[in-house]
Amino acid sequence: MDAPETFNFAENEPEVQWANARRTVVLPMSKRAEAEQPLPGGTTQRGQQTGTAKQLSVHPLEMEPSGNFQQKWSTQRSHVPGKGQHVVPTAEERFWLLNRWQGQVLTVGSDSFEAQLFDPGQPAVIEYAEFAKSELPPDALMLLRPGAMFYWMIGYRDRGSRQRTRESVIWMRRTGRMDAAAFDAALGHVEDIWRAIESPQSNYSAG
Amino acid sequence: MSPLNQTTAQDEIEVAVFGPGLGEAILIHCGNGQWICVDCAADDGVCWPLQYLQQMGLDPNECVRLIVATHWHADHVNRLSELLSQCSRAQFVCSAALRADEFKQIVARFSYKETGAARSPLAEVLKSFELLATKKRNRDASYKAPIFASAHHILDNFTAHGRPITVMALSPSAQDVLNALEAFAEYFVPIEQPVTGLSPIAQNHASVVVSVQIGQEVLLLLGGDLQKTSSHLTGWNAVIASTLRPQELSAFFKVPHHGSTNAQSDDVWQRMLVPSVHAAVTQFVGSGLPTRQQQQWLCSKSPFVFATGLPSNSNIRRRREVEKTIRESTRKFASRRLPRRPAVVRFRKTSQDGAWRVETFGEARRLT
Repeated sequence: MDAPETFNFAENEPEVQWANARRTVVLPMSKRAEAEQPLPGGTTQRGQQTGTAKQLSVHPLEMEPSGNFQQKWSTQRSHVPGKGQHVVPTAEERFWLLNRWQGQVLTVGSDSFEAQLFDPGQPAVIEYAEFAKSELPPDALMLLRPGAMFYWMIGYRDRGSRQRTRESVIWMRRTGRMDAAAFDAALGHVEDIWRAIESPQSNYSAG
Repeated sequence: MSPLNQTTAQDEIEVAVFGPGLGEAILIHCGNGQWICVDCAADDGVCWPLQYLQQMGLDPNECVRLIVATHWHADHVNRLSELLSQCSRAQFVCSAALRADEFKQIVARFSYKETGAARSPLAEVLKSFELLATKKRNRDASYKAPIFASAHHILDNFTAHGRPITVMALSPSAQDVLNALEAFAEYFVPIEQPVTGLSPIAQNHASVVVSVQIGQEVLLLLGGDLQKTSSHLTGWNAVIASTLRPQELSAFFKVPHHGSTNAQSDDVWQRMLVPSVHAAVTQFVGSGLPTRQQQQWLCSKSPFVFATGLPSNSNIRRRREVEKTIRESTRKFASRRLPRRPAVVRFRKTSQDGAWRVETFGEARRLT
């Protein structure tokens, strides 16, 4: 069994790697949510659950932001009578992934956007969704344009060991910045190629 | 029905339309083992046109003489570079719009590795051009300069089984090319801003429409993704108005842009196609094309319209918590299934009988 995994919402774009193995994670047994309340900033809180451990299967991911998966355990010292102090691992805030898609924005409307979604665990299926823009935090709204790629994740977030919420998280990919030197190099490469094939023997027609 | 790998007779004309759900490719046998490939489609790592030819025992390097990439969208250039490398003697054709500085700039901008180049159609275009440039630099005897085609450009002219064959581009018009340059300029995002891809459903004005005249008997019209516009200078209006295009009526039509409404033109069906023309449409699963309404429109035009597959919803069973969160987080959500391989419509005819013999494979079917 693989180690439990968590998703760390770092500002930096995760490294993208290919992964084929099916993952198994250990999750606490869920209970029916007792309260539902909205959370600001791109997540929606769906419920609060506690319980004992249960095995869940998470779909393998085609484009997996593996760099952001971390085990985030802290240690806490406690006193046990007769045995002195020993270290008890307690979980910090973690995100347990239940399902994830890679999405690409198709159209952007006034208060919503449409996207096609690829679930790496369902390679023979393409999915389509319309999201309200309010699902995105302000800084992600600035990245919203046709063609933009994002990850959509559904999972449980544990805050400490006593609070669990079910969340939908849209994470816009933030790559694609280029410095002038990188762009000039890329453009130079492209122009070299086009120049090579657009020789005098090229058959270009102006129509 | 004959098996998919049944070879084509030397005198037989064949049009095989492949539609794996996210792309399309068309193979045309003009006679005497000479093939033309329009666009490229792949699924599950398999380049469909290559596999089809190889399964028939043909060597793509020997039999494919022309490869046309109608436009640069992902669903038309998937594994194009592989097709080009395997068909090294073929003449490569693409839209004249791809010669522009504006296009080179978006290639440089969006084929950069951090913008998801592995799946970028622009990276595939760049790879294909790199292949050609390498052949040129190596003075490879098989190198042929690519044709940057626009309307009325003769792409190929040869004889097969005693029949003269003429392949002509009917688009893009000069105005289409100008519009495409404007669109490319709009796509460009300043280099200091993050950007992770180009719209997969952007306009298709610079798409190459191909006409194949085979002898005096058959004219084929392959619509690419050309759309109908309001201007008489662009899109299908410009093609229809042309006096330089072949004026005979086509006996086969590859329906443009997956049957979408913005590519529907009554004039094309009335002025460019024979009555009850044989036609093929490929589905585009991502957008659910062709819709039921679009299928009905096509059926009203001809009783012989075939589809490589039709959008069908998929009932994926996910964990209950996931299903609930999907419902709560989206306004609309649909799962559509890609067709099971193979999804091919094959049209064959010999000069003797004169009628198309149509075979469907996989989920391909006749529209009703």
